Amino acid sequence: MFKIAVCDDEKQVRDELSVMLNQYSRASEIVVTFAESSDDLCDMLMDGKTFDMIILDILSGVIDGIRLGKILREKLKNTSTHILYISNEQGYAMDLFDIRPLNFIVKPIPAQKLYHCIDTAMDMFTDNDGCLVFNIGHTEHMIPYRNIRYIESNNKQVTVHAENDEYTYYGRLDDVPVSSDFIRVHKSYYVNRCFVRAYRFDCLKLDNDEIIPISRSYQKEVRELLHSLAGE
Amino acid sequence: MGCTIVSASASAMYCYTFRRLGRGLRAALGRRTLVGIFLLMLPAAAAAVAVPVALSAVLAAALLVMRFTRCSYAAALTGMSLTVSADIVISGILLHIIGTYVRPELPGALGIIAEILLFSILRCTALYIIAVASVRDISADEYSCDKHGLYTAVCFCAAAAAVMAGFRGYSLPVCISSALCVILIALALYGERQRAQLRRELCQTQLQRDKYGNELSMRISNSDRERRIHHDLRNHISMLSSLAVQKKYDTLERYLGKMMDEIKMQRCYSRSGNRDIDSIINYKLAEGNLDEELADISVLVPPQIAIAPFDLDVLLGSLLDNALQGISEGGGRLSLEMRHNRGILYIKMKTSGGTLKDKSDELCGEFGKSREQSAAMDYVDMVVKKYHGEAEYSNENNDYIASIMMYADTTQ
Repeated sequence: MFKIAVCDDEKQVRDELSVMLNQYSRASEIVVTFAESSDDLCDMLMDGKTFDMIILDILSGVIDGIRLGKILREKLKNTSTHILYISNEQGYAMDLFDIRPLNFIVKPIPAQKLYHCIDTAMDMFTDNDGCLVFNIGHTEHMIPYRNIRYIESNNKQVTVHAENDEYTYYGRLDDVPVSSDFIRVHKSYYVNRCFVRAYRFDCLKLDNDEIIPISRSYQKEVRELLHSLAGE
Repeated sequence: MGCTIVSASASAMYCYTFRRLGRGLRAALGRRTLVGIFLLMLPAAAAAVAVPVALSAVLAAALLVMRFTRCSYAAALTGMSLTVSADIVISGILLHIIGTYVRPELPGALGIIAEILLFSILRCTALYIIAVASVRDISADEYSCDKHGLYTAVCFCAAAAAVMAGFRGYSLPVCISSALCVILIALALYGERQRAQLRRELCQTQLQRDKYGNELSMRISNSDRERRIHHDLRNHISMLSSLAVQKKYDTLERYLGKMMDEIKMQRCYSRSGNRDIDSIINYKLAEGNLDEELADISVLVPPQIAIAPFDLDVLLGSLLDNALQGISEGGGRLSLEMRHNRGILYIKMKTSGGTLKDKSDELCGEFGKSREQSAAMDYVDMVVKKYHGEAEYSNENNDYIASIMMYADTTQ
């Protein structure tokens, strides 16, 4: 099941979202938890509760939505939960960049846009749900794709850069099976899109400030892919 | 051997100086026309006595390369070929006329000086007309000579003049006038480039000033209305309350309607917080007098993004102008979605509406097959390319969609 948390201090908005989520075509695949303020949601997260997606009001409670996003990403080191921000204001908060939200919707929330965002998150969840399996010596390792930042090859060795560790084994990058969230940006690199903080035409910056080059031969491919994804 | 060195130096000199000129000529006349002109002039050049065989060989080779490759030097070689050929023919004729009618009339050193001056002036004028005046209107950077081109041309020129002066068979007037010609033309092209740059900057400043001026007047007007409403609010409330007490509901409704009309702000389509983008959208759509109900504008971008205001003007202005033209005559809807995500700016513009069909030819020209004909869309493509982006245009079920992505970092 796909776990969604909805956090908004306005009851009317929560009720509207509840109705919309009940009418969602894939309602049977989701479980929804409601929080009355971001403080409540923060407590839940601190207690170890996890969600696959959070629909979060930017101004909700003492801890605002942006601060809660930062806590989730930086303190709890959670990079896999998708955050969908909702707000009354159209203005864009610069701080949102560091949180890498899935999207940003201005109230009143259009149902189709909400469904599209959930679809995207669910598809990414399904795609990224698998594991990369490889052997180092006689030991088999299984690393969930969602925890892999990028995969690098160097001198017939493949290095898997996971969130908390690195694994190196003999192999070729072409033989590494990856989920659809990974993009090939170089003959020596696969990068997980979920960890990308900013794209440039010739390189990309990851959430840990590492810079990965996009080689000239892959620039067109990357550009086309990003265009087709249109900001998902 | 000497001839070969001289020819190679002269070729290099011409090639470098006229590299950009060649592109301009190609843009102005077309590649085929230039090849045709060169082929016509080649026999004349080959027939001239003063032409070293090596120079002809170099030119022929250049033409051959140009014919079979698409390298960027092809146009340069074309420009060079044309100019060199013209120069040779003009020089031959001028030297013959001056040598026959002017020099014999003047004694010794005076005759030499007069020959040099007269030959240089006439040759420079002729080459200026051929090489510079023909591309004078082409003011884009790539068509003019840059600073490095100028310096290199002067160095090549001096070296070539020095080499040529050391050989017999080359008259002093030819050497000196060659140097003057190249310097003059390079200077003229350089000057043209500087002027073009100045014109562009002026245009950019003007655009920026107009844009902010429009935005400011729009805001002042809105602010005045709001202030007036607030000032009269107490009176309005007492009037409404009095009408309600008297149960004059029709009058109450009319009064409320009047108030709503007054409160209704001047059309403001975008309030993203990005001043440049908001002002362009608000100004363009207000200018096009587009009903707010027909516009679905969603702009979600940071206050500052690394796209020059001038480029944003060109990009959004061209897209909106095209869309508004179709809508005003066809009565359709406009949907504009702009989003900035992880260093990428996405723009999706859709115009739709039943009567747009009447304009299908023109709109197809903008977004469809014969898009090349639309200068506005070419500007859009130019800006998109500058930011390493990609633009797609489609036409589905009477919906015309322009979808653009561009790399644009934030500037905090």
